Amino acid sequence: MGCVNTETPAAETLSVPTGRRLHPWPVRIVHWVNAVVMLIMITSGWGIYDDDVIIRGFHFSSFWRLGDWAAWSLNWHFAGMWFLVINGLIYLIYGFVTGRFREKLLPIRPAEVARTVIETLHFKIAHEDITVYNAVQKLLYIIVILAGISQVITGISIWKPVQFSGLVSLLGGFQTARVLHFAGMAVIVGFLVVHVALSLLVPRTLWAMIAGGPRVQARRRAKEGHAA
Amino acid sequence: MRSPFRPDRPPDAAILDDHKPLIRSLERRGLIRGGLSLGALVMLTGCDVRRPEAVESALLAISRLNDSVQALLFDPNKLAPTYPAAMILRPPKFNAYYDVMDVKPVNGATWRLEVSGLVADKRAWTLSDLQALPQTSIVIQHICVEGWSYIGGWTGVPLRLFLERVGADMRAKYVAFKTADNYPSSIDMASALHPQTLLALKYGDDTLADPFGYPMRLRTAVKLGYKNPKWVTAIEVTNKYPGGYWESRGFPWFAGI
Repeated sequence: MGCVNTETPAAETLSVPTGRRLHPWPVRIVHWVNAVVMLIMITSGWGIYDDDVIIRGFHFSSFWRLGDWAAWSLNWHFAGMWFLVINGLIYLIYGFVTGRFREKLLPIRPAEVARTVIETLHFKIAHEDITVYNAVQKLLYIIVILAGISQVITGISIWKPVQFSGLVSLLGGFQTARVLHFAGMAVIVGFLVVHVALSLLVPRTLWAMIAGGPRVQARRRAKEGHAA
Repeated sequence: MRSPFRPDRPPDAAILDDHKPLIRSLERRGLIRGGLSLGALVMLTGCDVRRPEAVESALLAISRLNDSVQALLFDPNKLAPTYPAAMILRPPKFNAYYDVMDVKPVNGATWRLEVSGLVADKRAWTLSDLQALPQTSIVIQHICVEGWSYIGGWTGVPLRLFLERVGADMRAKYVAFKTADNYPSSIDMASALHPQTLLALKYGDDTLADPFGYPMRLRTAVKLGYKNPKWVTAIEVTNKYPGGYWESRGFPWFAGI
């Protein structure tokens, strides 16, 4: 098979886009590691929550909890946190260094957000080109990235409220930090519901996160970079 | 098309007759009985299908690793926030591995505090011996691993001062506690020497009430609630990992906050 390249006509090589994949392999690996770790953190967090509920009368049944009682939910949570933080840091550094965040998530124009929301409410979801995110997608991805960062900050503050007492008082005290940690979970779970539902509605996007998706031409990437 | 796995000649019908008793023995009731004994076996070995042994030991290994990370994060000079006396919750919250109705009060007059391990002076202490030592008061937040918290005011002998008095080897790793309610506990030496770690004798300005550890309990601002044993009867300074009641059931040992 080594001679294939030399035999391929020049015209054909030109027609094949040579850019990088929509989701380069580092993004895909980080995405699926994060998917597993997030599920561990969320379900073990529900196990910890159930020991002393924040919303009176609101429990998670044992089906939804990771760890058969609080000690093991806690151990899952305190094991998962390292993977969440390290994987998340790799993602953030990659996103900033390669310009992926700027390219995919910016700019967001309020008018575009409003238009996309109205279109979505009329069940007109444009997805012909999965390489370009619409304004609502951009906004949701930014919100969930910020929620993830917030979870780490509120998590550290309820893990070590004495060592990081300054952070805790900035957040409004231990119990407030705890409620914020719970609220951050709710935001992430809300995102997950929409994210998973849409990926199942448009399975091409799901496949793209596994196989990498279509090649994004370098030319257009460069043009967009200039515009931003 | 004929399956390649099917034999060329069908088996002799007599084979079926030979195996009839075996087929009869595979009745449903037998299967249920078998399933039940398998379930019983699982319970006997303490093995939980939802908590496989390999996963459990991996989680415990990470928990031990976390203990050392927590020890590194611990700043011996960092003081926990303190609060005005007006914020003290009265009475404090009760929590134990049993109900408050099952508390067995300890007689302060006959109570003794045993001291053992890496100490120069192993003489037992009476309550008035402890009361005669310099006392410190702190108003601090109690944070339970479950998530609840309250502000309490505690007065007693700083554990550091007590360890100095008994000539403890301050380079030892652990300070271990035994209690009247069979709730063994232990903390690291650095946390034991923290200025907000007390052998508490009073809540607010009142003598400790029975449910909260009379005559003496540990109260440290740098650990979760379950690291604060009540009704302490013995203190040991040691280099051998002493564990604790909840720790032996899976909870992290260091539990610093």
